Amino acid sequence: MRNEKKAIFYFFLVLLFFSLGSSIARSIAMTLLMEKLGGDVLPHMFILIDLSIMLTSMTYAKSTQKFSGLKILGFFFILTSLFAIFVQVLLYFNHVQNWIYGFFFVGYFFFYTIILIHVSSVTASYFTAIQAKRVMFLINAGIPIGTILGGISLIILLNIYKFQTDNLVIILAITSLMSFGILYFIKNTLNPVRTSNNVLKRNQSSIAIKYIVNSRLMIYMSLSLLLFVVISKLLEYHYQTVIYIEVFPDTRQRATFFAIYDIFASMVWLLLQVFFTSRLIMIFGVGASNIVYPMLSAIIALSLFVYFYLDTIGLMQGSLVMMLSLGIITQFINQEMRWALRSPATNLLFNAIPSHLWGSNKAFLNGLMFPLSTFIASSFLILITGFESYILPLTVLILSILAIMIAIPQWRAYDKGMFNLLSRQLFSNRSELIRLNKNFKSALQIKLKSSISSHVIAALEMIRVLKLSQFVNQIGNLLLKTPRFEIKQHCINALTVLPVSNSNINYLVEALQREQDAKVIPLILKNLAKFKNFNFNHTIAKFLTHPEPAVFVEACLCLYHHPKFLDKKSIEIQIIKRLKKAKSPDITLYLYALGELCNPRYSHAMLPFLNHPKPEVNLAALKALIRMQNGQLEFHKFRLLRALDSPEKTTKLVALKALNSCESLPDWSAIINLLAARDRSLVNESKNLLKHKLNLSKQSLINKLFTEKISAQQRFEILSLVFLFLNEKQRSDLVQAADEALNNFLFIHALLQQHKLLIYGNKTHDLITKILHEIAEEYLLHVLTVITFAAKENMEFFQRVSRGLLSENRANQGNALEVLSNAGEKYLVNRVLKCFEEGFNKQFNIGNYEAQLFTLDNSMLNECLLYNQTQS
Amino acid sequence: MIPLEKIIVLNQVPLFSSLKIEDIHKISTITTKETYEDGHILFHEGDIGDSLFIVVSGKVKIIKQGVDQPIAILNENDFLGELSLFDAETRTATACCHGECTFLVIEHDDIEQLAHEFPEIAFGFIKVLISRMRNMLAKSS
Repeated sequence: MRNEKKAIFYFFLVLLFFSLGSSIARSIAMTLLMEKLGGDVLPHMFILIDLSIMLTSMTYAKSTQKFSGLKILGFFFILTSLFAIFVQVLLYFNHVQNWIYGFFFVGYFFFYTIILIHVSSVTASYFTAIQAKRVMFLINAGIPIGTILGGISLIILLNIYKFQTDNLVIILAITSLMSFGILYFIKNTLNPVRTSNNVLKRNQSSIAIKYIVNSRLMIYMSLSLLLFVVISKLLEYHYQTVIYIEVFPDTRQRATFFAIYDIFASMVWLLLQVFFTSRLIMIFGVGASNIVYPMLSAIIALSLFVYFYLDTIGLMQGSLVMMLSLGIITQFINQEMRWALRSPATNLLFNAIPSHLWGSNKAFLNGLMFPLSTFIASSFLILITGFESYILPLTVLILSILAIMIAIPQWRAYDKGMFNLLSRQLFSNRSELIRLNKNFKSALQIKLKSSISSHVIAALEMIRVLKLSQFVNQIGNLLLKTPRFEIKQHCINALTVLPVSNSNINYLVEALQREQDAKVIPLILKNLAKFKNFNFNHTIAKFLTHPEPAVFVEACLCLYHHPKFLDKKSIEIQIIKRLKKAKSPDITLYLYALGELCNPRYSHAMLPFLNHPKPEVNLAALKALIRMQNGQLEFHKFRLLRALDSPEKTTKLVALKALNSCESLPDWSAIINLLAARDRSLVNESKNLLKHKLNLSKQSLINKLFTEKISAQQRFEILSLVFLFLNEKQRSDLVQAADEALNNFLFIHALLQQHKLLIYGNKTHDLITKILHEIAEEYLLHVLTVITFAAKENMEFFQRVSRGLLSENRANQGNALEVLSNAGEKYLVNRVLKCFEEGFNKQFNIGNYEAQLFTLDNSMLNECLLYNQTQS
Repeated sequence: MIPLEKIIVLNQVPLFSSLKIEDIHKISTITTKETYEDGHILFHEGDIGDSLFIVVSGKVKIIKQGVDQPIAILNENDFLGELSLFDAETRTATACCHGECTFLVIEHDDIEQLAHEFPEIAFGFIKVLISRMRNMLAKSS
């Protein structure tokens, strides 16, 4: 927090000094240009300024990838200062040359614009996304305050101390150097949270361009900027050339009006920026706040249109007071609200853009889109001259409605962009990886001939997945020739999935006749069993006497399931006979074979093996039992529930799958408990079962939800099943429990602080610290789980936000908080935001620290404490 | 050495310190405490590596053939042979006890089984090894 205040103060001073000097320089530049060169040169000057910014933007974008933002800003301040000194010297020695005034005007506006573009990125990089939303208005207050101070200073210097305008250019040099000096303090005392420069990577520029082209947010921001510039220019033209000229025909009167307007408008701007904009953005979020400005311009355009239209058709008497009021409001919205509202809100949109791309994106917007928009606006103004005075506000009204329509998807794109920043990888290379080239098939042929097994296997897998039948002969020959088991295995699999033809069957049968390897023969048999329209039972029957159990089993099954094989009974007898004589490793195979017969008559033969001491036999018996019952498992449901207590994961999975076919269960707790398993497949399977039987399991799930001791994961999974069925009372209880969890989270943090102070150096110190961190993490996850469901978000939201908040990186934390603040739930979110923003400073009366640790009821923690006691 | 002491030691070892307590607890169940006298050779350069040693107390000298001085001396909480947890390549140097040394030893097969059973443990190792690789790359560049 101390660093935050320091950062706010320093950046406020940077903007204050810079704006002070700029405001003086702007007045001098404008006055000198008008006096020496006249207003006719103004459009040329603007073209020169835009052109120079456009050209510089390219270099600027590249520099932001190589140098830190602070260094670039310092460089700009030094350049501005040198430029001002140079102009001052020129004016002092050679003030008769008029080109100097033009040079000063263009140079000043160039530096002013380029610094304004860059300074917001630098400032933002010293704050997290959520901090930036809160503090940028205080920092930006430096601009209007600096402008007011600059104006007052200029009046005093000119009217009281009687300075010549020509001699005041040096002030810009002094204030720029002062800003540079503050940057020096920033460099030495603060560290950026979000770095705007990365180590230069290959293709960095192409990544930046790809981002601009592919980012929806950038597209909407570009369109918004284009519309804003056109609207702004049209409005300015309207109040300057239509309203003010009519209200103040005298130039002197008009100048006095502008002076008074500037002082009051800057004050209102300052007040609005500090008290209104910050609240607006904090309450409604960045995306929504960007809709306000186009709405204001639409309202004022509508008012102007109504007034001038009614005046034109003679329905209303022209009133100077009303015109002046409209003019003032229009100018205020166009100028002051731009700085007090639009710019801060638009700058915050950059939060959703990766910080290392800020430079290139800003260069694109300000260096390319801005001049382009100015050109469009100017061309439009030339075209529209001579039309009725209400046409211009009508155009602005249409454009403003368009701007509102763009600001809505821009809002969505911002939220999505923030969310994506929490992902590990911003750009997916998947599309590039999947791209198939023209020589793909010839490449596969080469790979199939490769001497490296992995290459051959990869090619075979590709052929299998894509079912490329033209490779049948090549694979068949490979199967017959290769001595390597893995390659044979992949050849068999590939031949089986390719479209059925005589070729692939012939290759498989030939391989079966030739093959000597007892590991390969069962594979061929298993795959041949899939071709039921072909009769090769005679060949397969030879394998029934094979000594290898795996070969015997596959041969049995292949024949048993073939429609043309009739002597099924002999197969059943042979399997039972072998099972009775079998020793441990082979039992599982015969059990499998028996199960695959799908004949419930043999379940009695299976039952003794369910209590076998070897888990693998157990599992095989369970699988076989399930298979032979053909889904009629109601009678065996207690057996299946008992299997859930097995230490074997696969046994549990098999039992869970089988329980799906049972009508109802007497107790759901064993299945609900599996929602807390660390193995994801177990969680998914138990969740599938509970979901499938939700009508029956719902109440047990809800009861479990409100018991104290459940893990964050279990809570999440239960809520994903039953949240929609909770009533208002239950939902409010859930929020209340989450609120308590947040308090506990803070309390654990307080304990952690105490722990660090009290027994540092103890053997268990680090372990206790870690345990406390894990407990705190569990409480935070509890809160985030409830927020996720209350805000109707999903697992991805939960994972990204929790990962972001638990990260040690402040930028990640800030991004996560910003994503949270955009979520639909407000009460808990605000509490979490407050906790993280205040750095867990809530005071707790810890009392007896050790007793407090004991009350946490964590077995490992208790063991550590007892260990400490015995050691001391 | 009681189980908690094993957990305390494992928690100090960088290879395991980023794992959750629950996982460290599981790993502690497959460790064995071994004590050797001064001069005992833990393994020779060229031996097939199949276990990881964590130094609980004492010092271990790492000696390379043809080099007079030890190339490294390992202290409490240091570990050696971590790559043997993932492959069974030959040892690249000889490790010799300097004074009486106590180790926690983890066998390759045990950790492999544990990693199969609890993939998050394997994932934790991958994270640590990647971070070490990053550091090495940063140093070399």
